Amino acid sequence: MERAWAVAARNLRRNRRRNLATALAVAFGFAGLVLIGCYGNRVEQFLRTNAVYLQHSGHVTVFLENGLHKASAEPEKFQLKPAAQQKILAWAAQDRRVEFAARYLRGVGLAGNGCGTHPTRLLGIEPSALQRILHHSEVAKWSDEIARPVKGRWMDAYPSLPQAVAVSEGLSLLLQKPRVHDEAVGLPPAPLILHCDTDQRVDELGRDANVQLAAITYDGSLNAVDAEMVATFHPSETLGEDGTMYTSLAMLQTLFATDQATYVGLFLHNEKDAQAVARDLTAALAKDGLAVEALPYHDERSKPYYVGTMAFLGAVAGFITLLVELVLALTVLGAMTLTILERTREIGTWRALGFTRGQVTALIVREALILSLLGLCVGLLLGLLASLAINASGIRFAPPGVPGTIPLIIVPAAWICALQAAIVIPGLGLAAWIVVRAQVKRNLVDLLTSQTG
Amino acid sequence: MPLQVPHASQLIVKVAFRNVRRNWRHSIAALATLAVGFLALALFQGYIEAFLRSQLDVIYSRIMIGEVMVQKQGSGKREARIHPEKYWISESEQKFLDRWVAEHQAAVKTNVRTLLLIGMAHMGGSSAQVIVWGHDIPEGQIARRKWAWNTWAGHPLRETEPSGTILALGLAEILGCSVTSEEPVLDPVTAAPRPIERPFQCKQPSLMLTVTSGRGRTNALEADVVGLTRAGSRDFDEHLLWVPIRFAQDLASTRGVSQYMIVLNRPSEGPKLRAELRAALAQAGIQLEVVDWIDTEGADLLRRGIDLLTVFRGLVFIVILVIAGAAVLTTMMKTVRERTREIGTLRSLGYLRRHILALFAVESAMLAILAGCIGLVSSVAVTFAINTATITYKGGLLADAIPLRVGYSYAAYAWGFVFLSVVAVLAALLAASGVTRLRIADALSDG
Repeated sequence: MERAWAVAARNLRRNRRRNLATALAVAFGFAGLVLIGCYGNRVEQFLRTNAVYLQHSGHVTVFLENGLHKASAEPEKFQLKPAAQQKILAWAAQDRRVEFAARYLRGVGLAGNGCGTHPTRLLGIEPSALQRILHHSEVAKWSDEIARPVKGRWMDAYPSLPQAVAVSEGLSLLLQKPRVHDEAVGLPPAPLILHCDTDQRVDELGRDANVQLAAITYDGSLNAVDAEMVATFHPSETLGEDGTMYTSLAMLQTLFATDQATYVGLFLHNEKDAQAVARDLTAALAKDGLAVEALPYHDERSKPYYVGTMAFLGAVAGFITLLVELVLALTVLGAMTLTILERTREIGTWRALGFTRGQVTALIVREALILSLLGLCVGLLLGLLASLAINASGIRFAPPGVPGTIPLIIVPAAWICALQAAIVIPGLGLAAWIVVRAQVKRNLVDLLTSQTG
Repeated sequence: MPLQVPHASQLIVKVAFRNVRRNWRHSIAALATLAVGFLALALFQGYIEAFLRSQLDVIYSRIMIGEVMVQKQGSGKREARIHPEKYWISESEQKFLDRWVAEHQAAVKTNVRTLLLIGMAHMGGSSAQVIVWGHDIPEGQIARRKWAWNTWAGHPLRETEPSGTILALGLAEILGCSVTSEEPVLDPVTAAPRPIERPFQCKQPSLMLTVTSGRGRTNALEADVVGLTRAGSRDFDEHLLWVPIRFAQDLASTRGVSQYMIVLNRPSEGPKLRAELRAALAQAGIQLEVVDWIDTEGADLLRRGIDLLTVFRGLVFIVILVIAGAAVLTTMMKTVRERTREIGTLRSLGYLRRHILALFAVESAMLAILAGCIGLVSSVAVTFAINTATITYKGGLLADAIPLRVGYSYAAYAWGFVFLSVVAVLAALLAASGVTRLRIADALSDG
């Protein structure tokens, strides 16, 4: 059986049309699996980039113990005080797995334009961290469109403007502020007293990018600050579109009259380290007398949308993979059944010449494997060509939970194609083995005198 | 007695049936492939239908959706938040609608007026952005159907508590309220909360609500927390609270309402009654929009989820089309090759090329129908098994775990038969077309 593979390949040439049809079935099935797997890859990278970078959580989000649930209700008690912030930042600075760390303050306030107010979610970010996040290679690669402001430039481009804020596009429309800071330069100023109930309102509000922010401080007093809208953007979640604002951390701390931070986000070099970093950080700080709650990005409590969506997509992709695998196995089963029936006497002859059952089985399983491999190669090529065509077509779609539409992009990954092949090949080999095994068990005389083949 | 010669079509069916019986071993893999294809299509379609049905059922009950929804045109747009008073249904328009509802009381189960406001809630140092949902209380209870008792803790809104409010659990957490009972909430049969008043605690018994009135002024009112519930979607769970409609109207200094939700005794009458109301409004010169909720911005999340599943279904459909087609093709190629001499004999007896093609087409169709029957039985069995297993899963933006259910989709079963038959017949025709073109002598000497 030294030349078993060559013999198997030659045997396949006998029934070219039928084998071609089988190989094509395998190819189409595998192309479908490649497309689904690579689409899933793209969705995972997109959602993870949004969850980690654009929702400003980091790969690991560090709250004070119970801060995840209670920081909003009891901010003074469950937010991170400066000493705790410094301990976390110091630990992050000495750990090689951490690329950088950033402090954040969350809150809710009213955004006003002088004529009316609208409630908004506020996020205070350190400008240096914002710059690193927005120019991060992962963001550029996977979520470039959402990371770009709709208008203007992000706050990090205005180091001399401490009151610079970025406002979600929907909120800017509600505030009737069509111009960001750069666009409003040189326009005649709006009057000190606005004519809110007249037709002049729209014109007057549009002359500058000035908005006011009001909030209730943790001790219950009302506080307000002036802000300058330097950019508008689409938040990465739908419901934030009409009420989200990013400010500098210092500005939001001034508004809430606090020096606390809600959480510290740790951004890692490698996302696979998230679980270990969360565990090590919690243990190290506990030794230092600080109880924290460190949540990796794949913890459902921290990122329920990312975790829920990936679980759902995984189940759907798993179901389709199982289905395609089953149908492909049955196709090969059918093709091999026909092959065996045709070649019953040939099998009998081999057996008569001294080939063992195992050798005959191995030969025919090899034929099935060659057929499958041929199908997989063509399928891979088809899948890659289809993904190129889809990517070039510029199709956009509206996934749940994301404002507007995003481009439909398939991102091929070698490991996904290899994994799909690793799932398919044994199944097809097994299908062939089942058919052959039943046939070679037959009596030698029966095989040689068979009417079929 | 004259000799009765059977018609060619009868003979073709007879011969085809005999061949299917004789060659069943050859066709078993193709049969299984087709049956699995049928099973996959039926399960996937059944899942999508059951998912849509269950979500609509829960949404319509929970948020008191009526089959006839009346609102001002553009009320879902941003302009309506800048100038809300222009987009509220005025008192005179409400009078017209109330009259229309009274005239159609035989068809109407109930009518819930709602007023939606955006504002802020404050409770002892914590603040949250909120969507205030004012609604009629007794009518809302009817509209909620099996969700009449809608709270996880505390109790539903009562007419005797004019400043009562129910908070969504996510919002409650932000403001400092939580359920203190560990007792299971949902009834496993109805999947709705059991009507038990469970305890909860808040750091303060009341909260301050602030909204901008229709005229741009900031108004504030104090509300008492009487219950906690879930909002369905994760995002809304951090923002929604429910109050009596009169409270919401006082808060916004208006007597206007955002919507009329008219719940019908027979939901199937929705399109007819919507058309009638549109006509009545047009005749009265009133500019109101009469819509089905599923077509509004509010149903965007559900529509997007369904669209995504439809794309996956399309992909499954294409994969099955190609693979099942190839499976039948290989089987028929073998069958046709083996029977070249039989084809020659039939041709020499006077059978035309189309008769031979029809013979193979009928054989394939029989195979497909048989596979369909096996697929149908398997689909019903697997569907039953899944539904009795009471599996739940988490789905992206939805706050609650979703029970995995697959519907018995009669349309999918019918389409499965048609689809597989067409695929099988086309594959058979493709396989047989070459051999039927052979000269009779060549066909007879094959082999």
